[in-house]
Amino acid sequence: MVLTLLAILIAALVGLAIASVVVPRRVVTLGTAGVCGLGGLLVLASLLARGQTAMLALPVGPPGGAAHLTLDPLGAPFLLLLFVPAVPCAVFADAERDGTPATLAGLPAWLAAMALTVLADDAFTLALGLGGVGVAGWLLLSRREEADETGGVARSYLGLAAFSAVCLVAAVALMAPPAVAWLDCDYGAIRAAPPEGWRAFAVLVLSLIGAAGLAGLFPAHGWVSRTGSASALLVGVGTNIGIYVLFRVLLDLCGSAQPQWWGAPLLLIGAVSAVIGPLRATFEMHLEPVLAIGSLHQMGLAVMGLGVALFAHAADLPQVAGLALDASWLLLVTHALCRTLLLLCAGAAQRGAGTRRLDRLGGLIHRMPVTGSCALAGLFGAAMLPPGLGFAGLWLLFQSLLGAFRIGGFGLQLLIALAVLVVALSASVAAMAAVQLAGVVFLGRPRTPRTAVAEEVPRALRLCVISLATLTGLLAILPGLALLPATQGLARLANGSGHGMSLVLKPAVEAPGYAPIAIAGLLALVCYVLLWFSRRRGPGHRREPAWSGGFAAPPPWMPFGDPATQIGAASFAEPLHRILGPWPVVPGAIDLVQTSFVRLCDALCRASRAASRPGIPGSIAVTLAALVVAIGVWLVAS
Amino acid sequence: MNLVVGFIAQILHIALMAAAAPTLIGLIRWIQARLVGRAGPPILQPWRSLARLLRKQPILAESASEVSAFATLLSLAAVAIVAVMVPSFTLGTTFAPFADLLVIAGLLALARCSIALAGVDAGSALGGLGASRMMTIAGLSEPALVLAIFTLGLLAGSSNLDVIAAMQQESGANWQTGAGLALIATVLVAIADGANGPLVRPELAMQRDAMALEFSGPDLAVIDATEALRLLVWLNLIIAMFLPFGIAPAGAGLGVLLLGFVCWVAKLLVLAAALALLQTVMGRIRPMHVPHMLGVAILLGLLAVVFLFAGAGTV
Repeated sequence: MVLTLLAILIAALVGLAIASVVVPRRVVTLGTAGVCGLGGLLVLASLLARGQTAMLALPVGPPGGAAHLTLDPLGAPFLLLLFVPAVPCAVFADAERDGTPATLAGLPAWLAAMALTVLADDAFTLALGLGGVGVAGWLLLSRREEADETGGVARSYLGLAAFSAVCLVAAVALMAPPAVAWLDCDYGAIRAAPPEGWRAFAVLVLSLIGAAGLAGLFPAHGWVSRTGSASALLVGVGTNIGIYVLFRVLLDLCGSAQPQWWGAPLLLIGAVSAVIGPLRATFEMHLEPVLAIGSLHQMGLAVMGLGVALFAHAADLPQVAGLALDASWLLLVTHALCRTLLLLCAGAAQRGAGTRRLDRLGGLIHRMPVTGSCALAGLFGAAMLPPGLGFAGLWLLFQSLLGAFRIGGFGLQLLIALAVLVVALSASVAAMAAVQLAGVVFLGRPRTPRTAVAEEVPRALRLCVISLATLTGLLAILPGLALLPATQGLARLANGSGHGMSLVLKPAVEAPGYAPIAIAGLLALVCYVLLWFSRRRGPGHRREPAWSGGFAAPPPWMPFGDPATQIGAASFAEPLHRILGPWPVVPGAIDLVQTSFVRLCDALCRASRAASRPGIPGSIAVTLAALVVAIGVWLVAS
Repeated sequence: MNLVVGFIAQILHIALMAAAAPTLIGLIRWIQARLVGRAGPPILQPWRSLARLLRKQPILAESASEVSAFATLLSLAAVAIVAVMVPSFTLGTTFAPFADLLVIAGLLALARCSIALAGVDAGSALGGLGASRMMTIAGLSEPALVLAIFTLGLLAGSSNLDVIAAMQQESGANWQTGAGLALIATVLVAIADGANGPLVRPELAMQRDAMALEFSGPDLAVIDATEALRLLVWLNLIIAMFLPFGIAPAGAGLGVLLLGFVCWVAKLLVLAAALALLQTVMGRIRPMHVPHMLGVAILLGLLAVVFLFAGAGTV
């Protein structure tokens, strides 16, 4: 029932995308927001009702087959991660003044494709979903105004998504039992006979490459920082689905019979991503790229949790695996909520202050108090500080690493010690990047006259960021609530028993744990007492000119002071960069790998585009034709 | 019954922390002065300074936002909660189940981040400089601390500070190499994180003091109190993590509690004297040398974990 309704909603999204050519902008964006909200409510209701796995065969599909959809306890929470943050994104898209028809069509189409990817139950539907993600993402990014600045990111997104799709579909096809044609093979048949030997290895490699592209993990993180105004949707919401594919393929479909070392590549990719993200964020000089590249922080940590879960899975430690999966899930929730919130706030700041260059912003909290406060709340959640939302995930990850250390083996233990180091390093650098961003953009003094007269965004957009920030805060003090939707699915993956909603996160039943509600309550209490004590003494603060290290008072034509006497984005991270020494060379090396990868995709795209001069419809036709050809080749081969 | 005893012990502990923090600063400054042959300020001088600052009218820079005042309060609150959770003379207090070491490290980081935000808020050059330096140093000190916590967590099977202190008490003289290395790493982190903050002369440090430059009156008192409390917290943390002998176990009698108190005061005095001596002998650590020190701390932390499983393999 729910699944049928969801299929109808996806169809409605596709319909909105097609109708966007004729109907007004507002109908499309608000319609998308409404459909997403409805979808979120549906999924939530089915999760709370503990609905059983539902299957649906659509009459469309490969020749002689059908497209299978399924809604199971693993896919449903990820649908929630897709639909909930998509609502404010769609509302923000409504307020965009410079959108083109292509971006308008891309919004519902992209969401439909993402939902289809999550609901897919066979290789064909997965291919359809992932192909749609690439094309719709390309539409979303194809904006004339940003063409020079973002440097063909639309094409590289399309290329990367197509490449990921090919890898992931190949991985799923490889898993199909030999007796069954891969197109007709649904996930249930794969689960019954998990892959072994070289097939399993190929599945691991292919799914890792594919998911890394989709989730923007190292080494395919190049596109993440260049997505511009579409970043809230593509980075904040979309990358989670890349991790969903990893959950589905490596843990669900491959079963528990896989060797122990499977966790190692995940741990490595996650570790490198988790450190690169925040470090790169201290180098970026524009608002959205800083926040978008920081996404790698949570994504990397979530993948590390997945790696630990695979280790524990192979060693038959369901409790540790459960901890690691819970950690991974909480980090994904943090990412979906905080990153989307931050990227939306970045959009609001750009709208209000007219620039996204860090060296022109500053002091926005004076002129945009709501956006500023919500951005600070998002930074707090994303910076892994207690009692924020991110810290709960980090704490669980640390506990799972403690547990995984007992599996034994010198290599594994060394790997886990290094993983602990990386987790701590990435968290502390992320905290630094968060302070840098908050200090440069929202606090301090404005750096240009334009920023000094920034205007707060309209009420609808303010409501969006406020509701996201409230949700983040609520889940931060009640992480059990954030775990609740995923409990059933994660417990099944970990071969453990699901635990109910609890106020205290615990590594074991009897052990002491982390109680964010107690920490938050104590913090609030002490702050309240201190505030009461200071208010009791009389009126608030008297305002005087800042001492500012003894600089002379600025001339009257500089009402907000001399911008040069204030620390900037480049200077804030300068001590860190000096300590790191040759670090700036290292991203060059990584970039080299990555740009050559992206160039390859680019070349593929250009080849396809050259064949289709007429533009968007032609490109869609070429992509569809390529898919058909690929399917035909596979059909002949099998 | 145990609950009531735990609650009373918790109240006593809180009162003790509040009383000890500024006194400890005064004591260390006095010892430092005596060591270089000066008469030194009275030990209760920090109390007087706090009272003087609290009497002043609160002033804020024109360019600062409300974040300034709130961030200083948040930072004091975070350090205060850590002070409440880290045991002093007895284990098993009311908040002991929440005293997770990773949470404690996180709350110290929270205090640091909020004071950094207060530093950049007014938009003055030196505040930003101090914030940048402090966050950089924190970026390196946190991994070392987390590795030390990981080592102890492996030894005790939990990252809860009470469990770890009880474990250390039981293992007693049978000290592990891993724990020793973790101790050195933690001490280095404590020195870098500001155990020496209130003790060096402001014009030299340019870290926390730089961030406090735009504050005066009660806000400055809050920052000073935070610094004093942070020093006490670090000493308490080192005592509870590595030198928990004498701390009364949960549900102990009055005599054991008194013994625990005496032991705690003695350990605190010894550590304070050691810190004063260290400061006097070493002088100031240049900011650009701190990362080297912390690099050593990170290596020691890694070595601590390595020693742990090397030891586990041979036994």
